[in-house]
Amino acid sequence: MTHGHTRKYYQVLKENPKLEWIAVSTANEDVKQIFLNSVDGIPCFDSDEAMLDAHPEIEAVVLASENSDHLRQMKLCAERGIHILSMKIPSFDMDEYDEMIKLCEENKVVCQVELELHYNPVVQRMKDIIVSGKLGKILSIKATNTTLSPVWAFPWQGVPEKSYGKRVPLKEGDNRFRGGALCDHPHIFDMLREITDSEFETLYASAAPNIRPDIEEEDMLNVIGRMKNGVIFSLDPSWSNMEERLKVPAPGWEVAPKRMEVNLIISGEKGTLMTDCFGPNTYHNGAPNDRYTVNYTYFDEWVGLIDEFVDNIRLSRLPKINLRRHRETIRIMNAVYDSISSGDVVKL
Amino acid sequence: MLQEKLNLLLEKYAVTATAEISGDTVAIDNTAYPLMPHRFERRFAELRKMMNDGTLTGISTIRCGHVTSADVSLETLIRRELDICRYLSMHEVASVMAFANGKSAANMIAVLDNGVQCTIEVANTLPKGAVPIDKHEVISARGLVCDRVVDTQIPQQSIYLYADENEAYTDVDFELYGLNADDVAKVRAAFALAKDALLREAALSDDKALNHLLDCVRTSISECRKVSV
Repeated sequence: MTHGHTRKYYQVLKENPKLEWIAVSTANEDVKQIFLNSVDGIPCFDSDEAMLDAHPEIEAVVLASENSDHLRQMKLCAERGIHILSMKIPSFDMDEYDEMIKLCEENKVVCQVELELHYNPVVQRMKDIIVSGKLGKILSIKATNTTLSPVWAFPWQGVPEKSYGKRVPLKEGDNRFRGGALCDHPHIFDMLREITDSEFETLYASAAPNIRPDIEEEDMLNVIGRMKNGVIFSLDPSWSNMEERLKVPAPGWEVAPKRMEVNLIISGEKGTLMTDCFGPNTYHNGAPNDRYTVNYTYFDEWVGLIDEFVDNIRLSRLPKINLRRHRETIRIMNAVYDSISSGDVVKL
Repeated sequence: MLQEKLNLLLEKYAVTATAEISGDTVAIDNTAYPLMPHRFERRFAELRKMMNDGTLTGISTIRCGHVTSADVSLETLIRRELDICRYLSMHEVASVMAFANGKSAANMIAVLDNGVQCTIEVANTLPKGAVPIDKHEVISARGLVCDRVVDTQIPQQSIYLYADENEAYTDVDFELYGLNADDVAKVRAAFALAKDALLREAALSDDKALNHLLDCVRTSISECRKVSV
């Protein structure tokens, strides 16, 4: 219960009639208090083991924890036959990742990776237009997945060992480490694979100077390259939307007007498609900070995501975003770090 | 399509009442209720929330503008915008003063029972088939809330396709994917009424209040005077 997406599950877990929310376990006292202040009537445990021991009826869990804890938790659940909705980064360590695949397959549990953009209606429309052929053959894709930095509210995301899994310098002579903005933004890498129906061939990445000089990880970076089918791309997975340093996400988190942007510009032989996956919205300049602010208005990806998770369990289906499929996305993200480190193109 | 989507929600969320959408009403267990879809558009729910959760304080004015093509009657537009003012503010209209030019354009000042002033400017002068254009803005001592982004005149869309034929889309609901935003609001309204008997009673009561308000607007226009509600 230490991930930024945790709160978005609360309403879905309570409202979806196919679910009975049985219990939660929290990583520390601070997180526990935040949870208790947010949700009534759900038992809260101090350890995962205590929760699972007390509630053997639990069929499935949502893992909303720091990346470095995922293998331990997956093992704990898989060995008990408990299905798993994993956060978007199961692990950056590919040996650890393969162990997760083995654990879930041997224990025959569903492990679905939370990539919520697959349940966004704007993304669905974008895919439909591409499939319709109105754009013609895709030539180039520009995609941003920029947000504020969550490290003040979810401190593990600012600790390289917990976010990336170990302390790896970004590049020689650089005092930053892997584990920052890139680790928070797998969506556009996954989306490129999806909409081009191809895989990454070559990429080049570069980290820009941090706009938050006091954090240990990269917060601004850019990635360009080519897919195996020839489509070229330019990706921005930065923490470029500055934030107030709140310990608990709340109104007034934004310094930049919009806290999260996922925009794609797709150029094809027959036209151009421009997509704002989280817009339009409503807007204000009132309390608490009297700044012009985007107030998210249409934001229900978790409804479809949980529906699919439930169906996958009940119908014994392989999730669309399963561990094996997502492995390549993680491999690509590691290649981005390798390119930043070497200063060279990486061939995949 | 609307009924199909409504059935999907009724089944998914195990609502036992029968509900059938027809035009601007929904029949629930064989009784007809008026749909007021704008009350179930998320943008208005968000504006209302921000007006009442402390984001805004010292509310002064609500500005509503709405232009459509001629296939939407002027009275339909007036009725909708008056109800949006009631819904957002959670207050009743105390008086109306309106001017109309034929059946195509009307401007109005409505004062709420808490003193907040609402301006409503409506017209059905867009070309046939044009997408409606509307904007709702609330001005307060603390700031403003608006359903349109600053420095724009027409609604933003989520997707723009520039190809042989230019197209634009705004999809707002994954469960109801395939419906436009207006139809999503209709289905959400019908579903909400099917789920909640209290909302059904409120819908009848609001309908009655709006009929009376519309009478007051007609009087104001025909007699050129402010009418107390």
